[in-house]
Amino acid sequence: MKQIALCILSFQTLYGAQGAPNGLNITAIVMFTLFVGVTLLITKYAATHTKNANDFYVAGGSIGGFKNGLAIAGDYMSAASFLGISALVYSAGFDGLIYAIGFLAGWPLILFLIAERLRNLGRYTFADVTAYRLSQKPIRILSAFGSIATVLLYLIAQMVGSGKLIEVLFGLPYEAAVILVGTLMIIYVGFGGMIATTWVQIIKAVLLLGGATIMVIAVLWHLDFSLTTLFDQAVAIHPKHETILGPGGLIDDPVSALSLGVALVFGTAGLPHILMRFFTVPDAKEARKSVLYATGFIGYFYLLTFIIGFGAIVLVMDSPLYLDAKGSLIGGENMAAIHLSHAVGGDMFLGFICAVAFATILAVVSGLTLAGASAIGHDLYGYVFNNQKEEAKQMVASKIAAIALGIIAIVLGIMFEKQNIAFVVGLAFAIAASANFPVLLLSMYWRGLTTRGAVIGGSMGLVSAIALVVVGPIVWVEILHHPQPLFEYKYPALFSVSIAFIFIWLFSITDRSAQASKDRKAFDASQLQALVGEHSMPLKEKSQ
Amino acid sequence: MHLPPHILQLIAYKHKIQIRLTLATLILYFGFIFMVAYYPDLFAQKITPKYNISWGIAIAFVLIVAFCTLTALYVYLANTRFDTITKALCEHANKEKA
Repeated sequence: MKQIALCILSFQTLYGAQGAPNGLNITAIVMFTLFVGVTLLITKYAATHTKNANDFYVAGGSIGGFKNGLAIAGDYMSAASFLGISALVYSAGFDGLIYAIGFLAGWPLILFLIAERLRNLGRYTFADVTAYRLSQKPIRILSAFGSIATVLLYLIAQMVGSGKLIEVLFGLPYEAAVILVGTLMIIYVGFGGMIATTWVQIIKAVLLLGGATIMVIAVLWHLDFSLTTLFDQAVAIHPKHETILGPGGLIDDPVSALSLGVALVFGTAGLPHILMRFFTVPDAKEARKSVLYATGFIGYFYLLTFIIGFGAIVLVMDSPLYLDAKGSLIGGENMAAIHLSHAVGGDMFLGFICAVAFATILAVVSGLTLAGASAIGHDLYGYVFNNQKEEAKQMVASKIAAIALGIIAIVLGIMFEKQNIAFVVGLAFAIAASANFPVLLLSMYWRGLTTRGAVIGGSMGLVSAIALVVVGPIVWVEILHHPQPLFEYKYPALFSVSIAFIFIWLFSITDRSAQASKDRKAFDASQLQALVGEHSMPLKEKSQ
Repeated sequence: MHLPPHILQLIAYKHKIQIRLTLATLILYFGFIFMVAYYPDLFAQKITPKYNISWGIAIAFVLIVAFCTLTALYVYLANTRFDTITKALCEHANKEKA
């Protein structure tokens, strides 16, 4: 008993978030200082190489397929994937795989339908593509709003998550942690633009994939490299025993299952920080390569998180070192992977994984901030409030927007500290799936899409996604304390995406305005560009 | 812009591949979700009594590999066949300009 108490006391800084730093935390602090130092140097390099808007928004279009694939993976795999999915596997087993499959399934779709055409038709933001052959201002407003809504929601989740994580791992007070993350992301994006953001994401991807791989090898080494031993012991130790091998209570009913599925698979193709990564490559062929690599990295990563979750069941669940007085994990359920890193690799590896978790957050929030700043500077300032403002001025607007977004993110992160924000990422995906994806897909492939149809249908998708979540069980009942929800399902996507497509279709086919005929004619003209892109085009002119 | 039939055929072929691969992905994915929602007990069954690996886990692993394979397949087809479409279109566009 006394020995256990001594052990728990010596980990107090990490697990109690109070007290002075001791030897345990030094590794983590050293590693994250190193990471921050390297990224700030990179930002300095990026700043000197960011000479114009092309550099700022898309790194001059010079990122190759493999590097971009790593950056995409780094942009997409958030702390929620790493910690959240392994925590879900830890507590419920198979249910974690449902999310993992959902997060992966959107990527083949992006490759088949989106990546190449997006690169051929657009320059800096996906609104370039949605507005390509439609009327600029209304479409830009819609797409920019869809982007900003998705970005802000996602940012809230990231800031609150990062604040709590850093509070537990490094002993910093919550507000300081949020301010630190916000400040760093302002610096990366405001000064280093896409070049800095890309490198932060690449470094994070390498660290995360490397760290998770080492963790899995260590877990398997503990179990004589036998997967069967892993599953046998997990089933034996976990309180739910064999039921963890099958679906648990995550999905209550078929409609929720379908709705969540729709949000994940189509939402991925509507996330602005992901879509913007396709403009950083030289041409469609490299865009296609980047998705191939990204999908491979992401798929591999989810296999790892699954094994990490089970590894945590075997090596962490039973060990009093990681449990508090009530028998639950110290620091909360999301700490399963963190505790596992200590169980297999001691203090040094724990420090490394803590730094990796921190890097993971920075990479994602940087991507989000740049996407939001691009929507504000390029779409809203450049096209909506002005008539195609010079790019140099757009860049300035975006830099200012990056600072503003950073400050807003810090404020929101502090405001939402105690709130239940788990539904927020789901809502972000739902908006991406209902407002961004339908308009993007149809503008690239359907001749009949008109400005009016896109604006009305897309807005209805956006509004219905938000409204259905507000009157659904999570917000209406749990947060606003009404007795019954007005909309009974937790996930709105099935309905909001359907609403979007139906109304886009309806208001497009009934559109007899002059703008509508312009829209349809412009589609024909855009198809060559969509298939070929600007780089492959004037071969004859190049040789002159 | 009028495109000659052989180019239109190539484009139609590309669209056909895109649609088929998309449908394959969606069927695999929503099929998986459908099974989870309606037949969770099937997924919970072990593949053999001796090992603690369920059909669900096995299928999920296979599905992850399948998604990656489909992306590789598309890239292969694109590199070998679709890029000829792009070239043909460019040549046609240049001829039209001349």
